[in-house]
Amino acid sequence: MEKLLAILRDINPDNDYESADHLIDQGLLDSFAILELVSNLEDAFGISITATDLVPANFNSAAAMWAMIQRLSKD
Amino acid sequence: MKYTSLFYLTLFLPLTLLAYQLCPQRHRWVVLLTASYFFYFMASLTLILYLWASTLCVYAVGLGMGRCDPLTHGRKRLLVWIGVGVHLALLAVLKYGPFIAGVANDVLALWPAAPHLPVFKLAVPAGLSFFSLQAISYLADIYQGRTKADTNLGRVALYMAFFPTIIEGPICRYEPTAAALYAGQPLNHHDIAYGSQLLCWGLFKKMVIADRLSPLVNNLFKNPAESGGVLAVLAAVACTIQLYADFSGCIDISIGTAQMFGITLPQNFRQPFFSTTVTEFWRRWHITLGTWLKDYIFFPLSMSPRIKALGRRAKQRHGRRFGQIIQAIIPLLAVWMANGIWHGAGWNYLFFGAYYFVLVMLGLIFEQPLETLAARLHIDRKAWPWRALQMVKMAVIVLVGELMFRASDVASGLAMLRSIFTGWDWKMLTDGTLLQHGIYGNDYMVLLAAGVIMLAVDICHEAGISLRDWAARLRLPIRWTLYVTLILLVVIFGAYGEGYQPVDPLYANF
Amino acid sequence: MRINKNIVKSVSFVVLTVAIIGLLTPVLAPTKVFNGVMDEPDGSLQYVAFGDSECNAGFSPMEIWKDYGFAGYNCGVSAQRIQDTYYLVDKVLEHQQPQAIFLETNLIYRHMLTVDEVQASYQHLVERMLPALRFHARWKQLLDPLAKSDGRDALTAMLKGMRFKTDEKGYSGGPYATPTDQRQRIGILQRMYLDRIVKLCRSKGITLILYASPSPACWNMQRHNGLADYAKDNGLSFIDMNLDPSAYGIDWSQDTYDGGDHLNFFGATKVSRYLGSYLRDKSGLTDRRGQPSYEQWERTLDDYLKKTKDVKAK
Repeated sequence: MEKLLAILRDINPDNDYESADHLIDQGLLDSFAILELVSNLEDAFGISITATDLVPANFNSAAAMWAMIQRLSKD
Repeated sequence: MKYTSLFYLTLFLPLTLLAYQLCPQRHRWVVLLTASYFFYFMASLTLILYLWASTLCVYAVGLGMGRCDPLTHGRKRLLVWIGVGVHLALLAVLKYGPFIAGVANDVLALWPAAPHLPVFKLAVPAGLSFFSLQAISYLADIYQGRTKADTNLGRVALYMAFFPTIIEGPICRYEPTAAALYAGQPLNHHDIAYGSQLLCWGLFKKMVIADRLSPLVNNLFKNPAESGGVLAVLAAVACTIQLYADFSGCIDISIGTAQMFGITLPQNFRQPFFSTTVTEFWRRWHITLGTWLKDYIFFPLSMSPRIKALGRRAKQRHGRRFGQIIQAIIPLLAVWMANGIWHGAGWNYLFFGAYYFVLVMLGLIFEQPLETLAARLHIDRKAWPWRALQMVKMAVIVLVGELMFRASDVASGLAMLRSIFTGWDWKMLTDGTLLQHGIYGNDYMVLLAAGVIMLAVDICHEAGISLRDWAARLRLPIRWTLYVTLILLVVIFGAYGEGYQPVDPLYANF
Repeated sequence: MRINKNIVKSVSFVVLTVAIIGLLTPVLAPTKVFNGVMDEPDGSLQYVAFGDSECNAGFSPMEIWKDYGFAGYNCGVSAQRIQDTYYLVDKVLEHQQPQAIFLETNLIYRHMLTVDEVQASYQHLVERMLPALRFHARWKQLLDPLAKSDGRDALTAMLKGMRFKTDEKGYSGGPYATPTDQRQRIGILQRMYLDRIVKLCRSKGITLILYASPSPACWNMQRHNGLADYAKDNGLSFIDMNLDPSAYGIDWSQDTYDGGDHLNFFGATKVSRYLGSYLRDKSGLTDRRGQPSYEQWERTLDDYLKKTKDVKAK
């Protein structure tokens, strides 16, 4: 989880990832940030994220992202 | 039938609301569907067959995909491409046929013996570009598992045909719109009141501002050679304000109408002229098109294995930044070309797409260097002086883009831009030239006053103030005076009927 | 009950708004409505011409006054539907008792798609109930007496309703009256209103004269046949000037302003000269020149001659 937060802060330090839960809905992470995020997450956690996973439910909060990472790691 | 006609506002809409409310809940969707088909028939007559064909196509293909075994990925992919392909083919033939044939003929003309392709222009059903996007989004959502295929043909049909959205959008997604449309919630006073207020505001923007600018814009762009210098700037400003007032006005009418039925449609405009960057502008202008392109072109492309691999290699060689840029180029190019041609069949639309593609790429490439530079010069990029400067920069960018968009072709658009520098004459502002292009002194006065009102409302919205809430808290006599005044402003100052030239909605040809 | 209270509130609001719009009517209702015909003294007009833009741009009452001393008005309205012509005739006859009415026949074949017809009829119905919706643009005249439209109003009044077009864009397509036995049928709705106009004129003892202004772009022999049949069936005169425009002096190189769709001022004078002679020969109108109540016509004639002197055809 710490690794995830570090990656997030690296991409966009302005957001408060501990409490924010509408990162996508409120546009706090834009499309390019998502691109970079996906690339870094794939490298850091050895998972493969596809377009199907790119839904707000998976990216609106750090917790949601962590859940997705766990899920994808199992496959 | 037009959203601004007396027939729609005082007959069709009230009768539909009445029928909806009197109908039992489980059949209310039938009222909406019937009304939608009636509306569409009045607008496009027999072309409704295309809408029906499109609806049946997505219904059948959707069900086919739903029945696919999750493991037979190949079959599912074939189906989705058939469904999408049918709609793209429809668009290609109906909307782009003449343009493609024209270009092909120009190329073929290079070989003297080559045949000449026939160019036939077919009638285009209203809203084709909008309901095609909705159809494709439904199929893509099923394919990617975002939604389940719907076995209920009525619900699918209503999603495709809902009369407030079919002509000009907003482009809605299957979830949650289809369910909301089908639910048949009873009308309630709050939604009817708020919805009709938003509708009146939309009418104000469209009829007092946009329709009043129409003769001026038409005049200036019809004779580009005579619209140089000051007039070129006027043309850019006028066509931009006209487009914003027309499109956001019609959208407000649509969202307001839907709200009267208790249905919430997605926002399509969010005070776009307060943007400080190009990407921000496109998150505030024609929002539903932007999110459609993002979800169905940008992410699928940029997340595809090949593009991801490209990006990864670039990242390994030259760092994160470069990797991100390389990964984004092809998807962005696809998005902007799609944006351009979606708007119309013409080189100026492609130019428009290319223009923003270049600007977005530049923004992406120079984001980091600019940030470092600003930090070194101790410029606070969040403070209002910088942001104001950025808004002015954005205004110029948007004005240039809209001028090219509206010009009859790329050459005349560029000529008008050039003339701003070569043919500038301050005298044109005062010697009466401005009054010789279709609108007169009193029109300019109305435009100024109405423009100020529109700006004030947008400022309130940007600050998060809900004007409808604020008005609702006023005492009844004051509140009613406000509402009646808005309606009177539309009735008296609307540019309709005698003394004005008839106007076609700008986005209705799409 | 709360629901009832809301319904009462909503209905009252709508009623209030409609009432206020209704109250705007006297404020906004124009003085120069219907081409200015309402400014003519009651009972002073000996003939009135109705039709669409073929009439509006192609009929010059002052020319007829000049040559024959007959006082009449041009009530042609661009793109008018025959339904509205009927209501206009009715309205004008509330104040005038002409001996003859000319009806330019192009609008009889103005046919809209049924869906557009339905919407247009509804719109005109509402506008008749709330005239403010129709004349709302007159705030411009109210605020600024020198506003552009008023300038046009004075000219229209001087020309007794005619639209003044002096541009020349000739028609060069040659003879266009190709003989045929086919007939273009008059639409059901259009026939209904035409019948009503015929009946209205008959009930008031007014001679209704159908005429077709020369127009290669709008006219064809099928329409002629259809109209000739109707005229015969109803005992009406039908002057079709398309059969031989040169007989009236029409010169297609200079008498049209849009390539053969409408006549310009020069063509209008020729048509009017003929129709004036028709009135003299067939309708027993009396020359009103010299009569004290028609003095303004003499003054208007001076202005008319002054205005048209500078635009004489080559």
